[in-house]
Amino acid sequence: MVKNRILSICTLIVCLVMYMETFKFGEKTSVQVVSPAAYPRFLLYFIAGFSIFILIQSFFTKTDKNQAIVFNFKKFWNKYREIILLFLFFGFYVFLLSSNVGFIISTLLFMFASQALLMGLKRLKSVITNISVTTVLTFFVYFTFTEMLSIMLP
Amino acid sequence: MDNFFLLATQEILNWSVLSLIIIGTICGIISGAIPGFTVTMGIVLAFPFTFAMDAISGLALMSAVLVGGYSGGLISGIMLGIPGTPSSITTIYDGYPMAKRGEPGRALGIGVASSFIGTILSVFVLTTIGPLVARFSLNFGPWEIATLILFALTLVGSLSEGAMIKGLMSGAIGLLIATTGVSAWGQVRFNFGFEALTAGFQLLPVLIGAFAFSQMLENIEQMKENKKQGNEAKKVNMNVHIPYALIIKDVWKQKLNILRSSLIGSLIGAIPAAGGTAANFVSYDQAKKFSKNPERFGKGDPAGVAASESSNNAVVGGAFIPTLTLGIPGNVPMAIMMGVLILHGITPGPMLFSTQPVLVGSIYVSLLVAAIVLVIVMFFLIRVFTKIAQVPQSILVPTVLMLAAVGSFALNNSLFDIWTLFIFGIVGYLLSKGGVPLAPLVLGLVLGSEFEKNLFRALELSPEWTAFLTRPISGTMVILMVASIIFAIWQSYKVKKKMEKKDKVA
Repeated sequence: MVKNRILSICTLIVCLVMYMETFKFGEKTSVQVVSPAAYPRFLLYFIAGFSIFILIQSFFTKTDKNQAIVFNFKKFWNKYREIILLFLFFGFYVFLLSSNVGFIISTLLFMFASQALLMGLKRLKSVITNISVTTVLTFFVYFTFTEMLSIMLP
Repeated sequence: MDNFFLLATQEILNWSVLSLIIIGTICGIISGAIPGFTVTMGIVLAFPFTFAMDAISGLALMSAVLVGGYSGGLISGIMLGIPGTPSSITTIYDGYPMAKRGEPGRALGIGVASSFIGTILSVFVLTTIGPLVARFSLNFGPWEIATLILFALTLVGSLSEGAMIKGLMSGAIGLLIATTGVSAWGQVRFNFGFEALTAGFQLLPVLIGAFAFSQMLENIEQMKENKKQGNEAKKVNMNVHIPYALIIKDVWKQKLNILRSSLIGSLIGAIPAAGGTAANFVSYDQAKKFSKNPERFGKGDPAGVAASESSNNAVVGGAFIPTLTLGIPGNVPMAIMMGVLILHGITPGPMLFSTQPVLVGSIYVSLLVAAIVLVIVMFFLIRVFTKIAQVPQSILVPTVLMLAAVGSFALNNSLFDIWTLFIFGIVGYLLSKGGVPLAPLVLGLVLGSEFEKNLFRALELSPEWTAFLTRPISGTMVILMVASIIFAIWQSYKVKKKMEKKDKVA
């Protein structure tokens, strides 16, 4: 139930930040029934209400006593290593695309790195597969979008 | 046959659109066949390719992906014993035992034929019921539209994955995200001082980020889990022989079962939130109840495969009914289909049938043609699809992420959209880890602006909130909304009691 507590607290923080932002909205015009902030605020009350409900409920739900509540970094890292690294790779890929490196180089790097992360580079077969998939897909997608669909890529 | 139907047939039956339908069906089958990929992912990734197309070509491609996707799940279900899509879970019950006893070709053949018949019958349901619903909904005012959207959201939220509160919260988050940017009255909301946010979030990057991204990352978790437990890819006997004569005999024997399952699929498909998985289970259950030999179900009975596959493909036609007639998509694939229409400046809703009859007709024809292509392609390329179904997640995940980034960028040639994808990818993944279902969020996002517009238009016309209750249709919607919440509470209470009883026995 720790998961639910974290979820509800994070949601409440986001709700609070968004609620503060609603004070920056413009004034109500003569044709409007309510102010521009009314509807988003209503949704925020709704979401916050549900979050509080989940938070309260988390204190009353029986938890398995054998379940370890203590945060173990090593266990966490082992479980989510690939996911965290993939997020970082993707974030870096988006950064490269935004910084004029270009689609082909950015994609070649991202595809190779993420496949290497997920399948490893220990076996020759994996390396060959990785390089083949990376090259073929990058150029195929580039060709399809730019030549066939006339959509320019970064 | 109506003139618009002939015009639509002419539009579809040319080589460029036909080739798109063939490609779409093949891609759909592949997306359905790969476990963990799902038809939704197929439709999400096909969406960017429609940007440069005209509306009819785009819809033809997407319809074909849908038809292929709902059917593709049977390949991995029968050959590997793993459902390619959640809507083909019950196919395994009988399909996999048939494959194990040396009849994979027969099981695949029955599945393909049933999928074909299911699609055809669902198009028939769509063509007959669709215009009636559209005509009826012409009477809808802003009160009815607002309550209908709210009802659809409540239904999707309260029935999703047994997490009612989180489902409703997810729907509200979707509605809140939709308020970002310039409102219908011209005021900027939630731009946090960033100019890029003034235009609001584009639907596609948020949708791909929240849905596809988290799905892919969950696939990685599953991949690791499988590795740990030693459940890695099985060696499959690719030597599949298709006994055509026996399949025709089987299908003829199952004609009533297929007809019943197709009707169940079409009707369930038309209900928001229900979708292919529910249709699959309900029709399988009904087939078992009506069978003279119910004890054979689960042990390799062709009737189980026929019921399962005809119903999940029949969902396609059914799901188009609320999307086209009311502008309310009942599930994520339909939300994306609606995105295709909006992208081409077409507003789905009751007027669509009178303003764009050829376009509506082209959807019917595309579905029919895709069903025919499905049978041909499946029988010729079944071995290839079985091989592709085994593509490792280590290749699939980076490919999908790269295509997601390209698709998001291609929408408006905007790098901000790729950042949106990335941020909503993180948000979606964290929400799904917190047990929050993402389908209500997607629907809230798609329907958000329409809901707000109609809600306040209704209040402008009549400032009394009670108008929502006193008008017959909107009043009925409110009652249905409350009933769906009560039903969900009762259902979760029942599950909880059952679990407690089980715990006590254990």
